[in-house]
Formats: sequence, structure tokens, C-alpha cells
Amino acid sequence: MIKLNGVSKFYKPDVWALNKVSLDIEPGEFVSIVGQSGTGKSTLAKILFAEEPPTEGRIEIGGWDITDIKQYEIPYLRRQIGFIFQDFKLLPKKNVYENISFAMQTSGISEDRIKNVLPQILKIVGLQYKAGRYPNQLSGGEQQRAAIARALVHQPKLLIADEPTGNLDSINSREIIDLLVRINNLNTTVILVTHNRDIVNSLNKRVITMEGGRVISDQRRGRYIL
Amino acid sequence: MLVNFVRVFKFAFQDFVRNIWFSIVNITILVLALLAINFLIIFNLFTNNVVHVIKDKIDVSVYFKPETSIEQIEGLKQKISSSNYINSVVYVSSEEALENFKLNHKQDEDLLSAIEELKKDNSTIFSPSLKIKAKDISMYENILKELKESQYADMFEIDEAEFQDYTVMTQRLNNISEKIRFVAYMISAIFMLIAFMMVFNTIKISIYTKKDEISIMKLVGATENFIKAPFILNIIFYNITALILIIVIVYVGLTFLQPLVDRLFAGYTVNMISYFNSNFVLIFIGQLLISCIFSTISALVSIKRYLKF
Ligand SMILES: Nc1ncnc2c1ncn2[C@@H]1O[C@H](COP(=O)(O)OP(=O)(O)O)[C@@H](O)[C@H]1O
Ligand SMILES: [Mg+2]
Repeated sequence: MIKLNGVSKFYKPDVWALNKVSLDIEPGEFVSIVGQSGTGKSTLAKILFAEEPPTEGRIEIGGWDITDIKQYEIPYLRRQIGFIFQDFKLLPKKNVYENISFAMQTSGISEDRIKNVLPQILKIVGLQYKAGRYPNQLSGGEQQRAAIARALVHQPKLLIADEPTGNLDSINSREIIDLLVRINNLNTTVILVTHNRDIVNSLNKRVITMEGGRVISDQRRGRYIL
Repeated sequence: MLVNFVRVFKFAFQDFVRNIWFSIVNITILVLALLAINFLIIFNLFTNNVVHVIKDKIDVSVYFKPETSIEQIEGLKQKISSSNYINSVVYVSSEEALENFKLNHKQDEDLLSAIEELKKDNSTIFSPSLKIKAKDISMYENILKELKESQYADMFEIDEAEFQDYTVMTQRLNNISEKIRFVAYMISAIFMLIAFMMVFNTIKISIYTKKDEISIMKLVGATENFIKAPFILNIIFYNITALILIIVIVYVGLTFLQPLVDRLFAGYTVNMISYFNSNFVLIFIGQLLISCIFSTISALVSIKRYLKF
């Protein structure tokens, strides 16, 4: 699914946010990436959806070498990957339904199909009764579920979550992680960047630990070791 | 494709309504900028007419000696009418000259009765004359030369100073009108520059406030054009709204201004409304194009930095 080969990222003036990272992630895996703040986890996520180009190394996603991806190809890459973030990144002036349908509309999906698929996705994330609400009328957990719904509209083979529970209390966090596990069970590869020791330990899945821009440990059934 | 087109329209419209205050600010700023352009047009029209009217009021007269016959005068008239420098020649008989004089001095009873006394002697008080209007005020000197060299030269008297005065006056008038126009152009240029800088900045700010929105659009896989299109569409819509408002403002303004201008240019019809009517397409569609192009470029320049994927 994902192949990173000696990937480094340099930020001006003097930070190597990633330092020769090589990784292989198989289709259908659930991978947690952990590490202290400032160790390059978000940078890794950004490189995967082409928000930042790597300084060195090669990146391949689903057989597509995106190392030197062209500007105009980026939207098409992003339609094949779902992302969620700590701050949800919902459009404040659109309601839940519009936020999600917007993502479908931007990629030219027909209204008929949107009408068909969207309610199903809303049901998966449990927001079927809150479709008309605006982001500021939802709890943090609900906003993150709306963001997950939006990430799912393209039925992505890969879902990248950068600290999705960072702004949530433990109950809401648990719900979000359960949702990610369910999505993973539907055969979507999930990459979860997190700080949360309890979550990582309870998952009992692959854990990659980073420090100073390097991978310092990669365990098949790992625990939070820092 | 069609689906995208409809969606772009829908997003643009939603954005217009949901950010109604930004829409209003954008439109207001555009109206101000267009006002600067129209002010310049009206001012230009005005100064042009002032100069034209002043120049048009100028003429010189050639006074004939009393013994000159009508035929001789007509002969000279015929001859100089064909001159390249002359716009019109009008014959003023001594009777007409007297009537004009009386008309011009209606209030002056003493003068009028003195004239009546003189008339009793049956003498001609006013010489017959030709009133000459040049095609351009700068040509009086040439006309003077032509007259002096003509075969009729000994039949009339010319006040050479009058001709020379006009030459000097021409220069002054041209100087002044040039200066007025230069100052007016500078002021409107500055005014317009400020107005368009305001347009640029307003657009820049409204795009800045949408930077998160733009980054989210990029995130969910919107292409560059799909992101830009609603912005551009709204900007065109702002411009059209601003233009409609400015047309109303200009015409209302002109109806108030017209009586003032009529009083100023008494006897001359300077119909500003009909000027705008007959140049409607040029003036207003021209403005629409200029402001649309300018604000679209502003938007494209401002949005560029947020579009980098
Ligand atoms: N745009 C940037 N410009 C300069 N330095 C950056 C930029 N983004 C991240 N960094 C630096 O790169 C390092 C890794 O950042 P990041 O990937 O966000 O860490 P993490 O997500 O693990 O907390 C940090 O030292 C951070 O300061
Ligand atoms: Mg981070």
C-alpha cells in the first residue's frame, strides 16, 4: 500500500523533520505512529497526501510514485485518500450534509449518487439525525465524526488520521477510535498518528515509534513504549 | 462538465448570501472606484465644453467705411467665406448694429436718448460690418493677414489690436485649459489609483478570510479551477451589481447637475444626459470590463498563495 524509501524532509532554516525514513505498510493494516511532539509525525502525514514534497527519498502509494507529483495531479491523489485532523477542518458556513456533499461535488460525483451514498455514510458515523447542523452546533466528537464521514465519501483505500482525538475527551476519543477500527475492518488501511498511550495499548496493532525524525521502533503488535 | 458548472454557480450564490456583509463591502468599494471613473468622464465633458463655449463666443468684426456699397461688402464676404481659416461670416448692416447696441444698453436711458438725437441728423452712427468667426481661435492672425492682402483692403478698417489680443488670449486659454485638465487628470488618476487599491485590498482581505476554506477545499480534492471559479463568478456578480448602482447614481446625479450646467452655459446646449445616452455602451460596458478585469486579476493574484498544493 505505502512504500517509503529513505525519505527525509528539511525545513528552513535548520530542521530535519524526517531523517531517512523507510517504511512498508500493507493493504488493510492498522498502523499507529507515536512519538513525542516535534518528532516528525505530522510531517510524515503531510508528505503522504502531498501537502509537502520530500527533500530526499521516494514515496509510493498504491503503486503510484508520488515523489515528484505534479500540482494538477494532487487533487486526484487526495480523492483516493481520506484524512482527518485534530481540528476537524470542517467548513463553518456549511452544515454537516453540505460539508460532506461538498467533498463529493468537488470531484464531479453526480447528485443522484450523492443522494444515495451520503445517508449511508452518515449512518456509519452515527450522524444521520444531525445532518442539518452546522459545525458550531456539534460536540467535538460529532464534528470529528462528520470529518470522518467526509473522508469516507470516496471510499478510500487509505485513511490518515493525524491526532484525531487530540481535542476530545476520553469517551469521545474511544468512540472515534472504535469507528476507525470498524473502517479498518471494511478493508481500509488506517494510519493513526497519536499521543494517547491508552488507545495505542488497547489497540494491540502495529506501532511505529518516532524520535527526532527517525523511526526508532516498529512492532507488529506493539505498545506505547516512550 | 455541466454538473460542475451548475455547482460552481450554486457555491458562488451560497457564498454571496452567507457572506452578505463581505458582498456588500465589495460592492460598495467597487461603486466608489467606478464613481471615480465617471467623475473623470463628467469633468472632462465639462472642461471640454467650457473651452468650446468660450472659443465659440469669440469673433472679430471688420468695419466698412460708410461709402462702401452692399455689393462690395457682399463681394468680400463671398471671397473670404471660402477661406480655410474661417468658419462663418455674417453681415451686420448699420441698422442691425444700431438695434444690437440698443438691446445691449437697454438700461442706459441717457445713452439711448443721445443715440435718438444723433439719428435725427440722419447720419449713420454704426458702420456696416462683417462678423467673422474663425474655425479655430488660433487662426485669427492668418485671417488678419488674408484681409490685409485682399483687394478690398482699403474699404475697411481693422482694429489690429483686436486680432492680436485674440492670439494672446488663445495662448492663455489653451494654457489654462491644459493646466486645468492636467490637474484634473492627476487628481482623478490619484483618486482612481486609491479606489482601485481599495478594490484590490478588499478582495485580498475577503480571500484571506477564506484561506481555511480554500485549504479544506484543496484537502478534499478540489481542483484549482473548481476552487477559483466561484470566487471569480462572485466577483463578476459584484461588478455587475456595482455597475447597475453606478448607472443609477450617474443618471440621478446628472439630472441634478444639468440645470446648473444649463445656467453656466446659457445659450449653449450641453446635454450631459444625452451624451451619456449616446455613449452608453462605450462608457458603461467599458467600465464594467475594466473593473471586472482588474478585480479578477486582483482575485487571482491574491488567491494564488493559498492555492499552492
Ligand atoms: N512548515 C515548517 N517550517 C519549519 N519547520 C517545521 C515546519 N513544520 C514542521 N516543522 C518542524 O519540523 C519538526 C517536526 O514537526 P511535526 O512533523 O509537526 O512534528 P509532530 O507532528 O511529531 O509533533 C518540528 O521541529 C517542527 O518545528
Ligand atoms: Mg503533529
